[in-house]
Amino acid sequence: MPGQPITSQEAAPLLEVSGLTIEFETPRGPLRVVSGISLAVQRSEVVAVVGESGSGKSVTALSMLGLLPRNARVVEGNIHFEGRDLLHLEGEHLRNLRGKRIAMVFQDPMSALNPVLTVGFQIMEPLRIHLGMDTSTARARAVELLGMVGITEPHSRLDQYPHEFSGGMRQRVMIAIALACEPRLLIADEPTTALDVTIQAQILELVKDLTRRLGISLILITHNLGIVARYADRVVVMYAGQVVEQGRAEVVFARPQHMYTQGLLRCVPSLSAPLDRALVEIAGSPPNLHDLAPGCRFAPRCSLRTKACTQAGALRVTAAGSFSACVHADAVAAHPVPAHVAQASLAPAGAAPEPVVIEAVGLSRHFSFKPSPLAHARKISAVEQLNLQVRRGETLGLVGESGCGKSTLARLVLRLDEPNAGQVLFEGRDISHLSQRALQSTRRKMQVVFQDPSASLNPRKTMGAILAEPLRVHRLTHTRAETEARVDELLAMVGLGHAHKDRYSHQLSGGQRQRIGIARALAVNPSFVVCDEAVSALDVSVQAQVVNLLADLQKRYALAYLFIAHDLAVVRHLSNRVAVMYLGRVVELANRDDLYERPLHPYTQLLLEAVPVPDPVEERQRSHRLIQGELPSPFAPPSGCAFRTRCPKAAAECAQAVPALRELRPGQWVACVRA
Amino acid sequence: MNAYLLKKTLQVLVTLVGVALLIFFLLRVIPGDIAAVKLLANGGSLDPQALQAERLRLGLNDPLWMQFLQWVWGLIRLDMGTSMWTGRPVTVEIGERLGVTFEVAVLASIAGASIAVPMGVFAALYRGQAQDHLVRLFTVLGISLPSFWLGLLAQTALLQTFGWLPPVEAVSIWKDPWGHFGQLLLPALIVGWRMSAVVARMLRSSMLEVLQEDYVRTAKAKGVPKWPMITRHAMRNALLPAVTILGLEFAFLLGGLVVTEQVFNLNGVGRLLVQAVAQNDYTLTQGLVMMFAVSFVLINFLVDLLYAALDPRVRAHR
Repeated sequence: MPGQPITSQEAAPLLEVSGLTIEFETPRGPLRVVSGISLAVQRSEVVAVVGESGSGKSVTALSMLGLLPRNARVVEGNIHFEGRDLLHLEGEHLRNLRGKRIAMVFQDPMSALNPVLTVGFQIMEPLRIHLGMDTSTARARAVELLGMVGITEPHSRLDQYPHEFSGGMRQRVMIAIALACEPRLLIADEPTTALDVTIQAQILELVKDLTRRLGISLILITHNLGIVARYADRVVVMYAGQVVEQGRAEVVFARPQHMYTQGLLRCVPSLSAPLDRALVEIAGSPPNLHDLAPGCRFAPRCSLRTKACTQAGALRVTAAGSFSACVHADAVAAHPVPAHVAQASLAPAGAAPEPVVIEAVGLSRHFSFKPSPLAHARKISAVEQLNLQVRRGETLGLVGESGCGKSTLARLVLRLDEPNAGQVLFEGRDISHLSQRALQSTRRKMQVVFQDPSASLNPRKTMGAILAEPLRVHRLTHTRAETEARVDELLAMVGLGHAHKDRYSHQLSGGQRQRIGIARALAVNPSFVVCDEAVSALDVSVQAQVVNLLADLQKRYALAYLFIAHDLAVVRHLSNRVAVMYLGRVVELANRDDLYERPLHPYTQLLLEAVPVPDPVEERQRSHRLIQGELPSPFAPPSGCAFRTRCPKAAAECAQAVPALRELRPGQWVACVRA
Repeated sequence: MNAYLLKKTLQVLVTLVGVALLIFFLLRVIPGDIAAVKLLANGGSLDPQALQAERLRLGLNDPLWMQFLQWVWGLIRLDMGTSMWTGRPVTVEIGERLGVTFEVAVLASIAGASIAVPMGVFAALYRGQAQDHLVRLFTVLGISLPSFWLGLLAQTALLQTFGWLPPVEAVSIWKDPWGHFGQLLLPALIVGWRMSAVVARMLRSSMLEVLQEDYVRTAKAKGVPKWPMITRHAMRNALLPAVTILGLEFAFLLGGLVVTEQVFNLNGVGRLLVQAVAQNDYTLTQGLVMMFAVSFVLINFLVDLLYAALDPRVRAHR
């Protein structure tokens, strides 16, 4: 029913949540993680629940199936599903609903399947429990279901165990389990967050097709606004345990009625926005739920904050026909926030070439595995004959699916690993086979920022001690006072205050930890920094801050970055040039604008199409060709061009020889014979 | 799988050679001369000539390395030599005593496992509630009470209340099976208690961990009823670490029943070991220690196989 306003008067929704409030028992007292939220799902509707981590979206979903953890409790509100009150269902009644009327797909397919039971058993289980099928009927149906979710040879795969499936395949199995009894409602909690963008597109298309075909309503919980734009009919935006805005997807994206939604939409790097600017940041970080000020929870981060904001705003209908919790909703809609803040452009392409900081020449790294002492060793080419250069003040973006060799390459150029062939030249000097001692002086100039900021910081050390360590190791400061001064300087450099010096890792937010990770890398005045998925684990509003920080630091210190990420939009935002890797080789290398606007390699083209864009109108016009299949086994890569098995343009000639990189347009190198 | 067996066998061989080296040379560091002890025990005086003759007869005058090689060469042919004290083959000495120890160990393991599994699972399911506290009490007692003291206590209690004691003399299983098991049951239960305590605590914590796993949540979301969820989905995963502990405990029992055998007057290998060490009987001590080492290795290997049967991921990595 496009165009028709969604109001609460509409006839009996399939699921209706009203005034739901959930508290967690914590050592510091009850923590209200969900505060009085209301939402409804109509039959055959796709509702996206969007929010950052800690917004309460997953807890809300779990409460719908009575799956809240032991220390959580619903304090107020109710959930009606098909006319029944879910929160007061007990035992058998609740169990009969789970998996039969409401099914759920979880985030991490690696851990959501039982490792000691066959996939077939796990699919047949709900069929036997809810539909009373006998083993042979259930088995036949399971084969059908596996086929339906796109798993080939379903007969034989039924007797395999989860570890014999890839992540994407496991998520397909989860979907088969969820849809086994043809439920009325499917809840998908971040179903593709753990997967590559190509697999993400496959899985989401599958979910969309199946739910549409079977008339199943879908609640899609995600932090990815692109996914929302591509799939959702309606959007519910959550912030700090409350719904701040909800409405039809086109309306929410086109005219957001809450400053948080607006900020969220604008801080996401996109594939098409102009690039000579910094990302708009949402200042600060989400509030501590233990310690809330009255009124709008977003107010401390909001630029339109007034006195009126100290009164709690309830969701109300706005002029645009959606609901907003902002007291200034109409003003927000009228208030055009510039999409990007002006900033001097990144190093312009084609200017006088800066000196090359790091260069890989014909770099190869093989791993051999011996499954047993007598078996033949099997060889994997993690990186094969790779050539790259990164110049002073330049960012080389590196993208590719997981398993393509990105991280191996990073380890090689940092000389954390030794190549089997080829050279790594750092400032013109071959460091590929230097001893650890000889490397010592070079190490200082090459630094790395890791993905998981909490895992890479010692939990027993203060931030001051963590930052002082590299200074001491490399003898950069000589007195205690000097060290202290430098630590303060570093903290200020990454936008942290003096007060953070005495804090421990657990006392910082994810964004602050990543700032410390960056400060630690910069402590030793490096000329080259590898950012290995450095912003991937951060929430979008915080991610924008860190991306801007990285860009700013690069400009100030003429740093060379190797920026490894799976998020193509972030790579586009930060990079001057981008290399696309596939099974250990670079398949395309080009200036950023050429690569994103006129990609030549079929893999690059499909990769870019797979990325959902946070704009429903644009999404509807884009072509959605899917990359078929998955990354081939690195043990047995296809002959010739490794991508030919998934390539829509593949021909007989592709199998003959590995295509070399050719410069098809000035500065744009492509390894494809048919490009 | 064959390559796996070969690799495993090589590892085992290295372990056993190490054990052989250690036990052989360490024993000879202990002061005392078996020839002298033997002569004095027979009521004789220390005649230097007789002493020399006895040392020669026992091969103690050969260079150490030669003694070692001779012993190892015997081991390879499954010949552990003769006891320096009794003159009978070590294999016979051990063989006569092994039966009792083995029976107690098996009975104790069965008792231990069948107490431990329900207790561990219930403690986890009723975490923090009365059931959990009761199990904790039971396990803490099982670990902390010395089994010889418990044994004495149990025997006294039996005598006081029923006026009955298990037979003191060894009873053959063929002549009087009931009497035989009556004799072994008490030590098996007491040793089994300790074992069940260790395994139950392990199982409780692994069960708590597994109950937090995503796949248990998946099972709940599928509508799997409570008991199939606990047994099929949670327990099979939680049992893995418990199996390792159970195997180690069993292997330990084969050599570690020294005190319990003393208390219940069981003629097992534990007592034999005490005797052999006290008498400086090099060959018998070496033989017993090697037997313990071999059974440890063997049981660990069986645990590995069991692991593979329980966990398909382990099977795949072979």
